Amino acid sequence: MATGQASGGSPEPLLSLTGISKQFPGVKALDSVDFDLFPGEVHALMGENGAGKSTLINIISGLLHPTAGKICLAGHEVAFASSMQAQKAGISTITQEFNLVPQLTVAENIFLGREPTRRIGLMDWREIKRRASEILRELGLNVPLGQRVSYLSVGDRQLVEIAKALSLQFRIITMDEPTAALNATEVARLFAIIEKLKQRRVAVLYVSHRLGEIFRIADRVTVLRDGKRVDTRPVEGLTENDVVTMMLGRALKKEALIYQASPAAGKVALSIKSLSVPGFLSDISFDLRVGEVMGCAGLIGSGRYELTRTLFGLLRASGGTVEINGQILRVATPGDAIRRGIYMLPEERKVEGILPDLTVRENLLISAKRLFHRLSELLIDAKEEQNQYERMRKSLDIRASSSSQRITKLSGGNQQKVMLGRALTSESRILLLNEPTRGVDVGTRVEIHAAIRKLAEQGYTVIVSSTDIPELVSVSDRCLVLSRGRMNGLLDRTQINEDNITALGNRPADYGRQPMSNFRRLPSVRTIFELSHATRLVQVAGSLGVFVLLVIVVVGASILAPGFFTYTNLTNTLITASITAVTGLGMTFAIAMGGFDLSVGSIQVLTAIVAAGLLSIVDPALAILGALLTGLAIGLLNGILISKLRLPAFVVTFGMMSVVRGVALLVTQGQSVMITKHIEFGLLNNGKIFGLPVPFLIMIAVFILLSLLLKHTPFGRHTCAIGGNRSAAVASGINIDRVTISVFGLVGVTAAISGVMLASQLMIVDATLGVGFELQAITVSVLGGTSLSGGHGNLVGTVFAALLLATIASALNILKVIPFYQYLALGVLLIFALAIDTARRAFIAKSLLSRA
Amino acid sequence: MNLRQATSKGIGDHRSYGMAVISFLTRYYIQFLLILSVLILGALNPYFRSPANLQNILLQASFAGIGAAGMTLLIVSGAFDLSVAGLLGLCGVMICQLLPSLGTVLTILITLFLGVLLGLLNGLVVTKLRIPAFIATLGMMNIYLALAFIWTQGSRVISVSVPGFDTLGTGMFGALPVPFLVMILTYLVCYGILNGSIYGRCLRAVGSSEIAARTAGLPVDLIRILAFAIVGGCTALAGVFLTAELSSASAIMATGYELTVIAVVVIGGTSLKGGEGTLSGSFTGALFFAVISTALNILNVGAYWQYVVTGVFLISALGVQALRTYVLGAE
Repeated sequence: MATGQASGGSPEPLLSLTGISKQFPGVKALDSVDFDLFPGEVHALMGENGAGKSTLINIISGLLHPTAGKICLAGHEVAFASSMQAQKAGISTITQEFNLVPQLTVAENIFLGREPTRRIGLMDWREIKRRASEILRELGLNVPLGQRVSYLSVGDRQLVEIAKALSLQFRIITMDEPTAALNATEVARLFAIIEKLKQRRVAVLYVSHRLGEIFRIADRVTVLRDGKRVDTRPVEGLTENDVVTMMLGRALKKEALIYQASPAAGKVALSIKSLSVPGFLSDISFDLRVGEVMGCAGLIGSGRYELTRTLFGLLRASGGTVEINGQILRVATPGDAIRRGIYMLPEERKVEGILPDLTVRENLLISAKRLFHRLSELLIDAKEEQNQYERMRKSLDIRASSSSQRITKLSGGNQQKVMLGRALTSESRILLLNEPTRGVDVGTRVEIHAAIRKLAEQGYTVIVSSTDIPELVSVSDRCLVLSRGRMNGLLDRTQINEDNITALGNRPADYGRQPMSNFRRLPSVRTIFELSHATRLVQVAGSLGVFVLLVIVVVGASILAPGFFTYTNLTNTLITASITAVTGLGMTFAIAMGGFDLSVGSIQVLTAIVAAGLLSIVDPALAILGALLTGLAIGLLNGILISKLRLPAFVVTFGMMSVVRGVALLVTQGQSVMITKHIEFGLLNNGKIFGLPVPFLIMIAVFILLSLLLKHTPFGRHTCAIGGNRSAAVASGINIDRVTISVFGLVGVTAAISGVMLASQLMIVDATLGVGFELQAITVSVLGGTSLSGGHGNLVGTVFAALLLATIASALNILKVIPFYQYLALGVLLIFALAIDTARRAFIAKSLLSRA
Repeated sequence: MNLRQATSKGIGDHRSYGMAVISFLTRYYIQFLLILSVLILGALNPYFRSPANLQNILLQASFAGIGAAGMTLLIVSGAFDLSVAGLLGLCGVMICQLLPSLGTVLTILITLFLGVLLGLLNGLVVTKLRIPAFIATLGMMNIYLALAFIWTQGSRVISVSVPGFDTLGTGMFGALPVPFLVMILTYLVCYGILNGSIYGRCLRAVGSSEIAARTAGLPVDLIRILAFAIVGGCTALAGVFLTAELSSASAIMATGYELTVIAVVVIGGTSLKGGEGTLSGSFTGALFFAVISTALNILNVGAYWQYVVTGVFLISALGVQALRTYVLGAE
């Protein structure tokens, strides 16, 4: 059982882990660990890489199940089947990748999944504002509640996450490297908040590499080493040395490779001068010699991760030069780097290393030299490849049952050896190895370290970039230490030891200059973070731009096309636009969720036929109802197939497009359906109220309804959440399937409304109508400013875009331009709109990187 | 340090006999379906059994089949091309315009060249403008259709009758229709590319994990663009034979082609995720579709059922794939 007591805590631990073990194939991540948390204490968890910290946190937060041991929460034994369950039990985990939806506001994020509502189902903004203000005031966060999270700094975002946890009344909050990307002020603010959490009797589990922080904020510290708990001690009375000793201990040194000096390093292989990458690195200069292993140390946010990526062409430098053998190196892609003899082993093997569907041999040889030097040799020489594979297998001792085995069947250590082999077959003499022994068992780890030393002996030039300090000590001839984007030290062999490296890595750069702030890792691909004012304008410009374009086109059409600005023509244009806009609005909803519906054209035609057909039997009201129900049914079917069967949206709706149109053909047997009874149905199209055509009013009604739905109901906010950050939506307890099915049902209904309007307009329908309608619907959505990446929907823009499209078509008609040129225009317009959307997102992402 | 490294599996194959059976069934179901359907229909309907009908099936299969060969390669790389119907129409129209003046061989060469060129264009739009493939090609489809329409001034059908050219569509080589023979050749070539060449490995790599492929130094954009070019070429080739068989062309001659081709590939077993694909599956799938549509014709079921059937097959095939992924786990 753990020793020590929390300050002012009750004798009962809130959370208690006993004998927790976790076994993975080949690796025992945790070995009989005891751990407990008292309410109101800050308990720090420390250990070097691979010690088991992350595994322990994952078990506590319900992401992993222990293979042995017992977890007790407030005295009761619990077993979390999922992270959702752990959350419901009151455990919150705050990680690097925040569970926030960037496109939603602070208030919306805090209450995501449990929004208070008024009677009709609309969001109760007043209540939300009241409660959110209260929480934020407590935390000392003065950010406007209506601010989109994407506009917040990383530090503020973290506090919003904490606010969310507080509002949910979590009892345990786990923070994993919370200060990694914060500046000094933000760190101080975070610590003040942690103090407040303590007062509220919340238990904080604090994981960090930074010794200084631990001593500032923690009450107790538990140290893990090699999956075992070394000790748990109160922080008071401990020194930094004590903690470091606990973390490293003697056992590890026995297994670590004893450094052996290689023959004196040769000439300069790589010369780096004043290398700068905006937002990550500043003024990095050092020389790399042939036959030497240069270690590279640094915490998250130090630039360590980015340095090798820049040398390999995955990041663009803004300043400085890199010279290889005296010539300036210019790499735009990894291919360029490989051609110049540089190869990088990526840090996260599972994400950007292995090719999961390919065999071991293919993974090994994918970067083989001839690929980059002899394009003529395109056919596979199976025998030669097998020989190459064999050679590599022997020299690295890769354990695989055959070369044709899928790479995913190998253990982590062997996969890493394959990656190393890949680097070697590229015949690059300069190797950039990132975390070479991550996720690797102890035995393989030593083998890999030995291999690295051997490479140096053979004249390779190696950079080993790692957060595993003992690893750096084992293999490096010299060691570069980065902190906050600057070089904080370049140690030679005599100076390389854990203490020096840790000390230099922890302290902010003291080169006499202003330390750079706001360092962060590369933003994850899914979410877009900080924006400057300029880019905010770009976002607004989306819908404003369409409006301006619309005005220009209308004016132009009035001038160039005589007869455009007549009452009749304007009415017709308005009607055409309304029909497209209604479905476009539905499509915008779907895109906001991150989905697509290619079947809306078919739904439109089928529902038009249903309406026309029903009119000969029943009165208009029932006919319309029948059509709407048809659309709803098809939409729901789409939604069910997509969510329950987990099929990709566009292919399902693509297939449905065909099915529905086939049904339309079958039902009509290729004949037209004319509306002869209840001709008053045509009033739906021809009628006017207050001088405005009825279709236009229908469109306005749909617009108002969908706007309310999207922005003022939990349903709409959930839709955007799913599109903006799906995992955050899941973590907030949103029922993704239910929302998906509902949204597609909604799209089906809007398509049906369009169908009814079409039937009313033409009064005679057949199954060949509406081809290409889905293209129009998507075009007006994207043109109107709704981004394909999801998370938000610009309904106003959709309406403007529909008006724009109809205006262009009308003008072209008047000018007697052949209809087919209109198809052409539509296609080009879509591509144009999509290209702008892409450019806009790239611009935003770029401006985020340069802000530092 | 995280879940990712934790779930790497050890060495070992299917976890149980049952799994192996499911794996086998879901992998080869299209071959079963084909054999089953041929046997049943042959038993039920004497006309179906006749050599004339069987040859017609082979002929009909070749049009979608040739296109499906290229599409398989593209889907393996993780992309889709919805523009093939318009592309084919455009090629067909061009053939009719050029044939009288330029003769068979030259016309065919130019058409193939056009197909590859349009494919390259598709590839450039997708990679350089970074627009998702299926929607970019949807837009391109409109453009190609429109161009074909403009060229023919409406969906006017153009007839063409040049003796040498016609036999391409209607001729036989032994017992096999010429287009079918070309289909076999196309599949052999594509098989060679996918499984026997470095490029094929690159395709699979890009489809398996684009990020990893990029980090391994592969020229991802180039690989993608070439795959689109291959689809363009295959589609143009199919267009040549379709035009020859019909002795005419129009802008909308291939309406629904993209659906049929993608359905053939999916039902053949190639996964939409990319990273692996089966050309023999697509080959079989093309035959299967031809069998089904012939059957629908013989049984006097309306032509309109084609749409429904194709769509249903596509969705069902997706369901089978989903089942395979779900049941077999991350194998």
